[in-house]
Amino acid sequence: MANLLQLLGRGKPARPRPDSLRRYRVDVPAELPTTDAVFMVLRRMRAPLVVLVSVFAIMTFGLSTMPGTEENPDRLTVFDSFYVISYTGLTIGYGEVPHEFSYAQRLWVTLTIYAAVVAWSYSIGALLSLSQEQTFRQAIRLQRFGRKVRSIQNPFVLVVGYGQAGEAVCRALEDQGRDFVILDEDPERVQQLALDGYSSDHPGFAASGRDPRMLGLAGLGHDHCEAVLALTDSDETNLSVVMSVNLLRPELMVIARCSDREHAQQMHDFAADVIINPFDRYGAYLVMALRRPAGFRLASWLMSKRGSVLPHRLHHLTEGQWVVCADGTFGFEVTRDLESAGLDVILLDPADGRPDVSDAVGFIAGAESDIVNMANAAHARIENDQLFIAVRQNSATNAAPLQAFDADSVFIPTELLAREAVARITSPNYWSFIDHVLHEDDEWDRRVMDEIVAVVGDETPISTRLDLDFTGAPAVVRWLTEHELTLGDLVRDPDERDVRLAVYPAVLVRAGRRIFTPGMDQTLKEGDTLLLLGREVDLAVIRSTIFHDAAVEYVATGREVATSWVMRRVQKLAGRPKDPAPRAPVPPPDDEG
Amino acid sequence: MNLEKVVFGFFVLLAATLNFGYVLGDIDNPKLHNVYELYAAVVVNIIATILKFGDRTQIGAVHLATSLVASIQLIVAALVWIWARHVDPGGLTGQHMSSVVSIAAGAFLANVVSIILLVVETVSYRRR
Repeated sequence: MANLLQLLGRGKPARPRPDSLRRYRVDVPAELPTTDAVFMVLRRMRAPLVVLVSVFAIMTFGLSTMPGTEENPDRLTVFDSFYVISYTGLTIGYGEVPHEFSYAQRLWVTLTIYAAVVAWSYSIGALLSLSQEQTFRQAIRLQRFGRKVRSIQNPFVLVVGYGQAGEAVCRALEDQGRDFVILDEDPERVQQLALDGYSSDHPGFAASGRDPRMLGLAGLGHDHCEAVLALTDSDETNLSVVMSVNLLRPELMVIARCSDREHAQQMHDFAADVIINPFDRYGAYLVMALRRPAGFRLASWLMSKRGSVLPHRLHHLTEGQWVVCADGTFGFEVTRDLESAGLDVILLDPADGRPDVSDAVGFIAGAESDIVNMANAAHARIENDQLFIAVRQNSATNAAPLQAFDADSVFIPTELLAREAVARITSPNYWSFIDHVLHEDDEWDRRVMDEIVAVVGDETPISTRLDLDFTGAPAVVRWLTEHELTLGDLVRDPDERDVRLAVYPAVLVRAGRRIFTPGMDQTLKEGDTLLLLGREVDLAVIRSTIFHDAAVEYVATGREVATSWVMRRVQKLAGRPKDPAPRAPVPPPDDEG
Repeated sequence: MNLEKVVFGFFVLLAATLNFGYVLGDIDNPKLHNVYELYAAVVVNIIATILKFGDRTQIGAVHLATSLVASIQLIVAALVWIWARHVDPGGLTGQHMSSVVSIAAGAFLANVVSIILLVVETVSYRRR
C-alpha cells in the first residue's frame, strides 16, 4: 500500500528527471557547524553564572548565621535570608524584614550589596562583549536567515548573485508577486536588499553559492523551492550552483548565466535547464530585429515588464556594412552572430581611436566602458546621420544620459538576462509560446501580434494558466460531461455573453501536445490546460467563471440559470425550456475585419 | 589534565554527596535533616547544571538533563520545606519532613545517574 503520508500536500511534486547525474539520493545539507547562537551564549555565560550563583549562595548562608538583635535573638531562617539577599542583590534593597537587623546582620547585608554589584557587572559585561563579537553576530544572522527561509509558505525562487542581473530578476519576480531568497558573496549587496524597497521582506544572506550547505540553508532542500537562478558574474560559481542542484535536487529548474563557452558546455553536462549568455543572445536578437522585425517586436513585448507598451519598430535597420567597436568577448560574440546571418561586419578595438563609419549602415558601441561607448556613438552619429546605433550599457548609473542620446538600441546585458530568466520562470507554457514566436515565420508573428493587441490592448499582457480538471475548473468539467464548450464561449463575459473578455488564448495543451493560438471554435475537453494572455481583471473573471455552473451554462448557451440549489430545483420543477430561445449566433469578436 | 573536567567532576560529586548526606537518617525526623545541608545541595546542584551549559556532546546533553532533574527536585524539596516551616500553621511536622526528604531522595537518584555518566565518560575517554 502506498504510504499515506506521501499523499499529503508537500509542495510541488518532484518532476522525474532522467538527465540528472545523481545515483544516490542524498539529503540537502543545511546545518552549518556554527549555527547555534544559543549554545555560544550558554558556553560563554558559564563562568559569570557560576560567580553569580556562588555570590548569592554565600551571602544567603552568611546572613542566616548572623546573630539577631536583643528583641529578636533568633537568627534569620535560610528562607528569610534568601528573601533578603534576593531583593538586596538585585535592587539594593528596601528596608529590613522581617524585623530590624542587628549590626552583624547589617554588616553582612552591606557586604552583599557590593559583592552582588560586582557579580552583576561582570555577568552583564560578559554578555555585552559576547554580543559585540563578530562570530556571534554572524551566528545570530545565519540562524535568523535559516529560520526565515524555513518558514516560507509560498513557492519561491532561490537567486544566487544579487548584482545588476539579480536585482533586475528580483524586481520582475516581485512584480509577479513571487517570493525569492537571495544569496550573494558581498555583504553590502545583501544589505542593499533591505533598502531596495521591495513590498515584502525577502530573506538574504552574504555567503558564496559555492557552498552546498549554504544553498541548503537558503532553501535548496525546501519543499516550496521551485527554481534556482545562478546569476553571479563568476562562471565557476554559477557552474557550482548548477552542479549542486543537479546532484541534490534534480527536479528543480536551474537557470544559469554564463559568458564563456567552455563553462556553458560544462553546465550542459549538468543539465542546466537554461544557460543564458547575454552577449551571444544580443547578437541573435539584433539579427532577428533585422530579418524578422515582427517576431522580434512580439517576443520583446511579451518579455517586457508588466505595463510596458508595444515597442516601436527599430528604424533604419538595414542590411549593409556593420561596424562593431568592442573589446572582450562581447565583440567576438556579436560579430559572430551578425556574420552567421550573412552581414558584412568589421570588428574594431576601441583602443584604436574613433571608428570610421562613413560607409556603414549600423554601428555597435560595445566597449566595457560606458563613457567610451557614448563617445564613440556620438562620433558615429555626427559622421553618419542615417546610421543604426546600438550602445551597450554596462552600469545603471548612465541610464539617463543614454536615454537622452536616444540610441536605436540599448543593450543592457543584465536586463536581457533578467527578462529571459523571468519569462522562463513564469511558466513553461509561457516560455514555450515565446519560443514558438521566436521560431515561427514573420507573417504568423505579425498576425498573432495584431490579434493580441486587438483583444488585449497594447500593454504587456499578463499570463495565467487554467487547468480544466476537476479541482481547477469543476463547473466546466461537469458541463463537459453532457455538453460541449468551445474556447470562444469560455472567453465570453458571464454578465453579458456578447462581450468578449480581453483575454487571448495563446496555448492549449492537450495530452502533452501544445496547440498554439487555438481557434475560437475549438472545443474543450476535460484535462486540457490553457495559457491565457490578457488584462488582469478579465483573467480574474474567467477564473471565477470556471467554478460556477450557472456561469458556465450561461456563457455556453445563453440560458440564465439560478445560482442557488433551491432556485435551481424550482426552475427544474417549473420546467425549463429544453432549447434556449433562438439567438443569433455570436460572431467571435476577435474577427479582424 | 583538563581543568574543566576537574571542576565539573568536583561539582557533580559534591552535589551527590551533599544530597546523600541530607537524605541520610530517619525520613520523618526533622532533627536528622539539617536545612543547611539541603541548601548546600541546591546551590551545588545548580552550579553543576550551569557547568554543562553549551556542551554539545551527546553525553554532555544527558548530563545536563540529569543535573536539571536533580536541581528541580531539590528546589521543589526546598519549597516544600519553606511552606511547612513558614506558611503552614501546624509547623514542620514529621509528615512534611518525610515528603521533603523523599523528594530530595529522588534528586539523589538523578545525581547517582550523573555520577554513573561521569564514570562512563571517564572510562571511555581516550587521548587522541
